[in-house]
Amino acid sequence: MDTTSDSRPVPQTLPSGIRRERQGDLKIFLGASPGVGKTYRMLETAREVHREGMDVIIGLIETHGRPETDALCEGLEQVLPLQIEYRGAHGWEMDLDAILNRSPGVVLVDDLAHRNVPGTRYTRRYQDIEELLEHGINVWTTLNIQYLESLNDMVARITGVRMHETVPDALLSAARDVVLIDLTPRELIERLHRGKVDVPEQLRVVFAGFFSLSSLAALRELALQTVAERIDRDVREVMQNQGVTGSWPVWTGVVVAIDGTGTSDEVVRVGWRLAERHHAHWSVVFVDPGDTGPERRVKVERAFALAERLGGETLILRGHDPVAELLSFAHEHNATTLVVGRSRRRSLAGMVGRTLTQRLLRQAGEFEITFVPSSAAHERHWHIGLLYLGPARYYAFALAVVMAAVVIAATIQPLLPLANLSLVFLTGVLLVAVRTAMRPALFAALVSAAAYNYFFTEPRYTFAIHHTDDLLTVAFFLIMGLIGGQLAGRLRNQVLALRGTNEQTQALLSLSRRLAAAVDVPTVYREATTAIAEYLHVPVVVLAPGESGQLTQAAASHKGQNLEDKTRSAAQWAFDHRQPSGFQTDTLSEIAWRFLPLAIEVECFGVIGVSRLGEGTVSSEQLAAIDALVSHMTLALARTTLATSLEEAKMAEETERLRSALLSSVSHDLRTPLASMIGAATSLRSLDHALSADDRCELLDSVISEGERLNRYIQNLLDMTRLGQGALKLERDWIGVDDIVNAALRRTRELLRGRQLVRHIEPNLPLLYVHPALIEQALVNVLENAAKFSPEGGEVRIAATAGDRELLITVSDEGPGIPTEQRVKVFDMFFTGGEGDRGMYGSGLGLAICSGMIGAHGGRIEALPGPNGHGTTIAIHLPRTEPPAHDNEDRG
Amino acid sequence: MNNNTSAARILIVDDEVQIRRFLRISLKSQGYQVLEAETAAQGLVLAATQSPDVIVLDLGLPDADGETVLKQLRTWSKVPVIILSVRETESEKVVVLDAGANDYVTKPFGIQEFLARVRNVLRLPGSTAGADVGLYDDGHLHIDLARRQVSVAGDTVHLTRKEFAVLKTLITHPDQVITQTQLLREIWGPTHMRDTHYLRNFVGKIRQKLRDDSDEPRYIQTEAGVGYRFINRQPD
Repeated sequence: MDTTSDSRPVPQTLPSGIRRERQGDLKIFLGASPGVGKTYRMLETAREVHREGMDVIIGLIETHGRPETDALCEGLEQVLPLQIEYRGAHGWEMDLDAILNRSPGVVLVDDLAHRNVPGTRYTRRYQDIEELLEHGINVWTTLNIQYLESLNDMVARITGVRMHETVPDALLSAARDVVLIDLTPRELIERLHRGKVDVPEQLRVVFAGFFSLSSLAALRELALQTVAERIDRDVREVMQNQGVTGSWPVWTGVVVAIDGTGTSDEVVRVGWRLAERHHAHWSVVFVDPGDTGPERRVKVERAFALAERLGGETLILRGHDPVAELLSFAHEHNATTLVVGRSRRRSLAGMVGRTLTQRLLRQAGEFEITFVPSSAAHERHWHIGLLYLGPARYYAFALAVVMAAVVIAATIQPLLPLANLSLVFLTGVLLVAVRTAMRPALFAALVSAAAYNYFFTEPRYTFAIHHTDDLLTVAFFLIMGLIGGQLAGRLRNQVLALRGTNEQTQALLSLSRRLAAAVDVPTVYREATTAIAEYLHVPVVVLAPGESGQLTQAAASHKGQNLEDKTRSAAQWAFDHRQPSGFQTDTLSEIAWRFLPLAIEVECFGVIGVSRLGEGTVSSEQLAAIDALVSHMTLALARTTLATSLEEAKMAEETERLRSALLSSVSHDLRTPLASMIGAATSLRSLDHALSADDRCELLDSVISEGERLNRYIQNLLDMTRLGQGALKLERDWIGVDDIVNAALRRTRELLRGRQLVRHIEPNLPLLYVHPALIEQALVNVLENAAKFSPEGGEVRIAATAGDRELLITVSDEGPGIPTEQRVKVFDMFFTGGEGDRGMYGSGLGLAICSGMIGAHGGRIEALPGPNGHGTTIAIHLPRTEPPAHDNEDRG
Repeated sequence: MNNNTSAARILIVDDEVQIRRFLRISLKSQGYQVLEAETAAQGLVLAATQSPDVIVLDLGLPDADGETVLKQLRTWSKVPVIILSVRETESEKVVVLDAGANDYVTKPFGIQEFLARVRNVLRLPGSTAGADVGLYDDGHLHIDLARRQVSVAGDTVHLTRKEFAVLKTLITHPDQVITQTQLLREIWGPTHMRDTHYLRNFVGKIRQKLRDDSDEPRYIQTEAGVGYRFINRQPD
């Protein structure tokens, strides 16, 4: 139940309101037992509304031949029942399809719980009715309270009969109206005697048991209660829908305090019932002063487990004063009610008003407090509780300290007055308190007082005290010892408690930091499993859905974690239902693992499993810590998944961009040479007579060179495809630089016509170990660009030199040059540097292909300003490869 | 000798050397004078200084897009413009035609088609050669624009006012493409410039009345996605 101070409609309640508007409405005439007159009343009401003009028909009414009921059916349209043959006998069932076809406003169908004769569409009549409702037809029906599923146990107890034809409670909840037909048990029995009741087969056998006064009275009460609960819910829904908070007190919270004694379970149950009744949020807290023994702890865990099963929140509060902690918690959480177990009888403390009960009553004025009584049997647990003294070694330590104190006191006795010797013992007590626990410290105080008395007060070596002032000394020493011991002990406990919390926080913090830095899902899994395994010292495993959709191990803290089938199915269950499974849960609690779903909103990434070492329980604080770690992990998973999706989206966008660029490039760069070819060829053909011989030659040259250009472009496209697919296999060979340069120049001779070609190839350059065709192609592309952008008569310079590690080939032109900011981007595919559909430099593919091919050889290509600062130089760096050592030529 | 061949100056604005080459050769062989520009900027300068009679403008220039060039040109010149374009860019063609271009050729194209366009465009009133198209008679179809009379194979044809207006627009620019938007704007005003389906039906009706609605219309030719063209079938 959601409790918010905001009175706007809360989502849990709205959907049922909305659903009703789409489906037909169900009206149930509910009765405590057969014979109270449900069918009769239904028919009466139906006739009334029919008279007012509503379209009411009878779907199926069981009159059992009674004339009064028959009479009521007159005047209402009836759908003839279907006759069904089953095992040689005839049965009559409601004709669902006929009613659907008729599509009335309201249809009356008797006996919601009826089991249909086999041969009809559904086994149960309520399913027929559900279908009617789905088609928007309103249905009125009758039901006996004993057929409600949730009451099956109770009815069996009351009447001795267990009903088999049960109806799911959901139907009752979903019904718009529930009309209670009430009859006192006496009246009903009277009617029975008068033969006015039709008794179902099942009940005839146990007639007496069912139709006894007490049974009927109990059933009547059940029916009344059910309807009363419904009324409450109905009203509340209406009020919530209208945003009215109502005049009833707003119950916001119940806080249940347990102390780990025998009554804790009962206290939890009382708290739950209270919370349920008022539909309030409830929490169960245990105040831990720091010295709780293992037995008490187990009881607390058990009570917590019960609380969680019932739907409450559980918390451990740390502090030495239960009342103070409880009240501060209750204040913080806006609780209105406290539920506590009645404190044990402590008459001594009671006299000074210091029992828990008394203190609560005094200090918790604004809360409602419920004290849960404890029976005498539980009192005994108190004694056992007190007996938890702590490890024996603490007492041995205390004894040793006291003895040391005696020795020291004896030694310095000549120097100090008697009274001051007590300070030595006091020091001892404090030492014990700080090093061990409170009770050993108190023991030490007592023993010290005794020792002080025995060894140092007159008369010595006796427990008698002769001097009054000595007596006072001892007495005051004892008091100081007790107080000091208690204080020190308490302090120690707090420190221990803080340390525990600190560890937890540290674990959480460290995991958070590591998760924040994780960039992908496997890292998140790894970090989380490591962190949790470190914190708990148990194996941890993460299962995530693999490609096939099945859960597979995605990470494990310890290698070789093989999970059994049962464990796997627990993991699968946790994944499917988004709920924890395994030990200390409600599902498959006998296995040695606990699985928590890694879910956020609608997405579930997988499950994380925590193993249990041995038979011990994992404390609820640790479980809470695990939950916190897991929620961090889930957030990190969500983040990294989003990051990956973003990457993929960007990739997809980039791919799309390249694709459209490719398409427009193909369209343009293929068409242009073709246009020239076709234009030239058609000119040759049509205008032959008007053309001079030179003209004809030019046109033919045009056709040829444009054809070659087309070829180059297609080659570029193919190369690009191969580069992209990684299908470029380098078939290296030894080849001289000048050979490649010459080949490239041959292919671009036409293009370079009209430009001044200058060659500076160094002599004796080492051989290149490359795929010749590719390097040649790269060079051709570069030359093409140089030619395109060189002005008429401009210089195109090609040079090659060798350094220690690489060979350098440069091609320079005197064109417009490439702006600095474009010098890197110009090698991207389909880079458009200027306006218009084609960029200035690089028609899209040329330089990108160069870059790809040179790169495949381990070299690099860059764009630089030309010589003298203007124009462009393209520099190709290729790594030097040493030729294999030749055999010495003069081998014999 | 009519004016439209001798000394007519044609300016070619295209960044592709090869295209300029064959255009130049072909046009020169027909007696035209040819000017060449590689960029839009260059083209505009030459258009301003050399007063060409026709401008052939490529839409794929690196330094400007066709529409901008046209608009700029049209602020100070009515020189006929033929645009060179690629098939996909229908919408761009329409935009440029509406911005003031007179006709277009799609790459790759045969030289004859191109030359025909040039000739056609030189017959326009805006060029040095004039033409009077008040009367059309090719032996089958007879149109008298002044008296608003149309007859086909001797039979009188009744066209509505709007139908006649469309026919008139087409026929006063014979062999030239008129964009859909142009027709719609002229006849129905600026608000109907997007009702191309309406125009389609309309033209269909005109064709019907002219008895020219077979699969291959002889007179009114559809330029898909762009507009319509009236084919002049008068003997020269």
